[in-house]
Amino acid sequence: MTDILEVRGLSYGHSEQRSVFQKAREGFQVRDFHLSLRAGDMHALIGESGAGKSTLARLLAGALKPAEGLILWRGRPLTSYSLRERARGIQLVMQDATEALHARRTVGEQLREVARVTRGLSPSQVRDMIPQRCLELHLDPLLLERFPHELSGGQRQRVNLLRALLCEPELLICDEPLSALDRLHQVELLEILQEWRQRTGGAIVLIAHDVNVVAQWSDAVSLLYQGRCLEQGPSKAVLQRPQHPYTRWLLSAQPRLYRPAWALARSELVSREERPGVVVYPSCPWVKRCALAEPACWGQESRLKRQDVDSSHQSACIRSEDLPWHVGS
Amino acid sequence: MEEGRDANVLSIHALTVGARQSAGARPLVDSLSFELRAGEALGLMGGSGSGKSLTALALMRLLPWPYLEIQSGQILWQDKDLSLISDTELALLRGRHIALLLQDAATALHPMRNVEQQLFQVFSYHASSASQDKSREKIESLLKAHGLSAKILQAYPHELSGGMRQRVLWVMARLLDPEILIADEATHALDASVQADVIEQLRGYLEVRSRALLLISHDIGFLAELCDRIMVLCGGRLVEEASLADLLHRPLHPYTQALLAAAPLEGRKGQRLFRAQASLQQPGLGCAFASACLHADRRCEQEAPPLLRLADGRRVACHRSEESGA
Ligand SMILES: Nc1ncnc2c1ncn2[C@@H]1O[C@H](COP(=O)(O)OP(=O)(O)O)[C@@H](O)[C@H]1O
Ligand code: SF4
Ligand SMILES: [Mg+2]
Repeated sequence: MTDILEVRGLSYGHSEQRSVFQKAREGFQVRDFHLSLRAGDMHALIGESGAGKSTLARLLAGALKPAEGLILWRGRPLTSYSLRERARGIQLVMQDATEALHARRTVGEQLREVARVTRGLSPSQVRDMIPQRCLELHLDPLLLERFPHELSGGQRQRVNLLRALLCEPELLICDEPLSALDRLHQVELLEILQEWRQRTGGAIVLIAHDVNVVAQWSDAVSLLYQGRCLEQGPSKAVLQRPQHPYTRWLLSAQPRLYRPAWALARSELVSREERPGVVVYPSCPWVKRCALAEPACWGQESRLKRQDVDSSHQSACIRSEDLPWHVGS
Repeated sequence: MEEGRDANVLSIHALTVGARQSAGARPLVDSLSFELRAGEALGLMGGSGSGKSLTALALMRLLPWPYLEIQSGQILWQDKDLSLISDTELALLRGRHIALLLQDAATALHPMRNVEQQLFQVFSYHASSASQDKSREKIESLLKAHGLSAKILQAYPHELSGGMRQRVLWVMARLLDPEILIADEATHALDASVQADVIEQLRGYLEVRSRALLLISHDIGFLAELCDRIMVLCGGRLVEEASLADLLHRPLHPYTQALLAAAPLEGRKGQRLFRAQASLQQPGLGCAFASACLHADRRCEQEAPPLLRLADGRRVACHRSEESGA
């Protein structure tokens, strides 16, 4: 199968400083990101706050203009498509669900309009279809008569998702759809997404800060830290044999019940105090916290590198071959 | 009251919370009874809308006025019923003896006041308690203990990251050394690293034996880090209570089973062990879980299962466990 989306060396940013109470950071919010996505794939972008996930989501949807790099959609630069074509190909469901809906119009009105405009359906076709689509998302069609503020956060989020799905996109990008949900609603939503991609062959980019919840559902993952991708590969390989010390730490920092059997103590992976100093691209951004860092880590280029000849599992740790858990050893 | 580790620091009897003008409607917290013991971390687990936050707010008498009220029940602390004491008496007690760490770090802080003003505000209700200098000392030492520099005092909430706001709230909750701390979704939506910090801090808080924690969360993973005992709330009703080990190894209530199955235990994929449904219908007379329960029958829809105390001390409210005599 060929890639529907290919991303090469994507960067975004300007050298604006954060407030003095927060740590000064490199000006780039996303730096040198690569991705290949095939139809039907689910790719999870995982990282803690400040990792650049939402910026990346907007970039992939074409809503932000990259500073560097290239996004190819079906082999052609994303920028060469019209807005309308883009909206039919890629839909983004943002983290803050409130801003996406008009406050003064009922949910039904808004959804019907989306279906009419993007799919060119007649009013009667739309009228029959939307309640049906609501049920697929476990939404009561009675909600269609309500205004956005009359819905719960979870319902609003699903209405937003439905709005995106009505455009019948080939790629759906969901920014942190799970973080406001309880465990029950999380599995419910993941099932809905899973079912959608199996039925339509659509691809999904799912953004999350909770590695446990999504990685099990996606085919592949990227682990992001301060705008950089530190590890990428098939979910199974990354979860079972994470190569980058950051990924090891993130999985080890989970609550006891969720931790993998190989989990390491905090002190084996992160240093107590963040090390002083400025990380200059393309050194490893994790160097300030990494317990395994060596002086070379400060100067050397860190880029994603294949860990295993037969797999696409990549880590950006320059020491990866020397680490005790290296796949090749 | 007897002293020592097992003494109750808070006893709740048949606490019922509902909307003010709602005669006949199903209460939002329905006849909830439990005891919080000195030295323990008690978990209150439930999905969203199960009534966890309302329970916490009711205990502090902070229910959104004039919409909701405590309709009946007692909240016994020392020899007082907190549902009856005067507002002034309550104001002196809040923060000093019982503190609430709120769910939403983004909105719990006043957006227009800097951290210093908000922290000192805590002392102002308790004017006799400390001189200005003492207060400052206390604030600075707590900030330091939570990895924050004194510089942060001049910051406004929007200038802080989510993790920092959470820590400021935490400092605020601990300023007056309360014996009882109620933490409502204290780690929800936080990064794993910040979450691990919060857990460490909560653990540290419990090192003083006379203190007690009521931890509220939808997530068994978080509760299991600290709690010895867990109560499960569904539709405002207590449906199960058990020790952590019993709950993990043998959850009896189908709702508890669904909550545990949905969690990514040991890195496994969460499972949906409940009926997904679109209906907006409010639970009727029967079991609050009936519409989503995989085992529900007609009786479950019509008749509320009583909360039974089993031989091993657990409590459970489900028609099935009643029949099987579990
Ligand atoms: N101000 C209010 N007025 C009416 N109903 C409310 C109010 N606040 C919460 N509720 C309802 O009470 C129930 C329990 O809410 P809550 O305690 O916030 O649940 P949880 O914290 O477990 O998610 C929900 O069904 C919610 O819709
Ligand atoms: S009482 Fe019935 S509906 Fe409720 S949990 Fe038990 S089996 Fe399910
Ligand atoms: Mg709540």
